[in-house]
Amino acid sequence: MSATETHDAVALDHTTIEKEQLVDRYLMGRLPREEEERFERHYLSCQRCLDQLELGEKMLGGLRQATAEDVERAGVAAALALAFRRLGRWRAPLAALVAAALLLPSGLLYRRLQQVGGELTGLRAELHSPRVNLPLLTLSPRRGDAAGAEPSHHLRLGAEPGSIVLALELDLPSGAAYRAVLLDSAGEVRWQAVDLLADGAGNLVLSLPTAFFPPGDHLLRIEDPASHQPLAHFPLRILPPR
Amino acid sequence: MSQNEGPATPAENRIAAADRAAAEEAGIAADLVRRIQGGDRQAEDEMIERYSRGVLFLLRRLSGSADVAEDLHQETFRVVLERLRGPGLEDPGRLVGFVQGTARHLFLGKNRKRLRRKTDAAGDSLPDGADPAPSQLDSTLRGEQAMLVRRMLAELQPERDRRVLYRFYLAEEDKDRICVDLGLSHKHFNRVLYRARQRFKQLLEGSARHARGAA
Repeated sequence: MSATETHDAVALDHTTIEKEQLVDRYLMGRLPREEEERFERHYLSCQRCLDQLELGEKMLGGLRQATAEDVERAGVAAALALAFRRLGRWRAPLAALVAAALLLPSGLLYRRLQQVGGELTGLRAELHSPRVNLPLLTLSPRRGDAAGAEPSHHLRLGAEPGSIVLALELDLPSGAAYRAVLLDSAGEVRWQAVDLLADGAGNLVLSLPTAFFPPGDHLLRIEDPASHQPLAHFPLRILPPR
Repeated sequence: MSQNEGPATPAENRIAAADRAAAEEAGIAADLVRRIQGGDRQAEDEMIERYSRGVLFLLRRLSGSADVAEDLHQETFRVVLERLRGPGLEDPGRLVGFVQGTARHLFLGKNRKRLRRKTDAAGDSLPDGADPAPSQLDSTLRGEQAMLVRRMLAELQPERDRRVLYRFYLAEEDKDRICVDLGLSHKHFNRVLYRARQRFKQLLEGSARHARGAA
């Protein structure tokens, strides 16, 4: 960003703001913290940028809402997409099977389609069923050196595979995006994700498959997306099913 | 003139103009601080008017709630005025940073209090929701915005331009990657976003006029 700082008022020209999509990137939480705060000091007294921010906020909100409405309407398509994801490596052959079935009906293919249809119906039902007694952990960040520290949070796995919900208590600005990394006891990365948005209270809530958590000690680390600097550590111990 | 030989480039002229604007803003801020310290009530109103809209927007973004933003907005200016009427600022030119910092600090303080209440609550009680459900008004507004966005997208040609919007705003892909994939220059990319926003603005204003006419 071509800007120089004079006192606190930030020398940002509007051509640069437009060229670098600062308004959009700010609204999407994709500016590094320093740039974000610099842009805030500019727009606090800039009616032109505030007009653009308010317009951009409405447009982005409208885009997300329209997409959410489309996804809800396309219930079957969503169930199919989920089925393909769940079927993993069989995705491509299954897609070919479905495509072939549409072109070349036969008794065998028809029976296979019936099976797939049954699986999809089951998956769809699962999507809309209430869930009871989901494993839920509310985690506070570990202060100080997290490496080698004895985890204070324990969670015992159920007999059946499922999900674990982790509610991470963070003091982070909402609207900003963060990176999360899950490490096992050997320091291997089990899962990572970027662009996780903190909620209105500055917290993150994650629902992760139990397959990511073999029994043992794990460390969930929240990082600054630009610098990868750790912002919070959450050690936890996963216990095997009884 | 630029530091090198020859006339300044357009970029250098823009930066110089931006520097002048920033220096002017710092001068206005310092003047407001000085007058407020001198007991000038009109200067207090001018200061609030100058930063009010920006502070409200910032707090709404941080908190995700218009009600919380409104409360914190009032508190922000109460704290800022108390400081300016009293000890003042070491560098009056840094007023905007002080206002920004105060707003952020108040939001974080409110957030910490809310988390402490959750931790101290009885084990069986449900914690406060992090995100209150949208109000009826919010839901209606979002629905209207979605409808206007659909109209804007339907009018956007060619289809590649719609893909630019989806990939940038929804998939949150990098601009460079989108440009390489779709064979666009950065200038063309910027133009697509600009046209989409302008058309959305026209539709929004039209909708507002229609609503006022119907009222």
